Amino acid sequence: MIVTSQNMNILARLALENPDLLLHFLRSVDNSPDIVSRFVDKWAGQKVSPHQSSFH
Amino acid sequence: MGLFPKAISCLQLGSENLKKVLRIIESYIILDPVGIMRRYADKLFSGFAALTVDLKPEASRTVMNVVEVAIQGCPLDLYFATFVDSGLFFKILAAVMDDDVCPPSKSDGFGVSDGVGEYDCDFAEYEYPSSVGS
Repeated sequence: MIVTSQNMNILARLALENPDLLLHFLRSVDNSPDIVSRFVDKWAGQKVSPHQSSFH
Repeated sequence: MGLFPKAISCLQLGSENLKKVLRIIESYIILDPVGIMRRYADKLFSGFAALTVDLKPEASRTVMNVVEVAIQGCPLDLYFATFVDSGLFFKILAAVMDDDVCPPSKSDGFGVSDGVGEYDCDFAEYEYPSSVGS
């Protein structure tokens, strides 16, 4: 599946409404301890890519 | 409203028709998001889940835009159980968490991922809020 900003918005909606539910399903996909930080990194990477960031 | 199920069944049509069908579905959802989702969420998400297997980036973006419109207009408990059961939610989640996901490019604004795997997840472990799935 292609990852788009819409994908992230859909997950963001869930994160806002029921973060526990999102966390549960994140852990279902990958039970590693750093799953939350990796998810946040992915999210941040989608919002501001190296190409788009003014800090690079 | 009676035409809406026919629009869902047309989701498997070719690319040019798919755009039109998606516009029709989106229009119905904008007009009555709760009514549409209450009656057709299962068919809609199942149709989208089947569709997302082999889509080009622009088509995938359009499909996800319709999904986003659909869920923005409804309370979580109206659609989430169906969203999970259809497999669409896990496709989205797995695609985002896939290590091969590319950052969005300057040109198209979104990245590309392939090889989304199947996950053996136990949905029953989670205790849904009382209203979810009812």
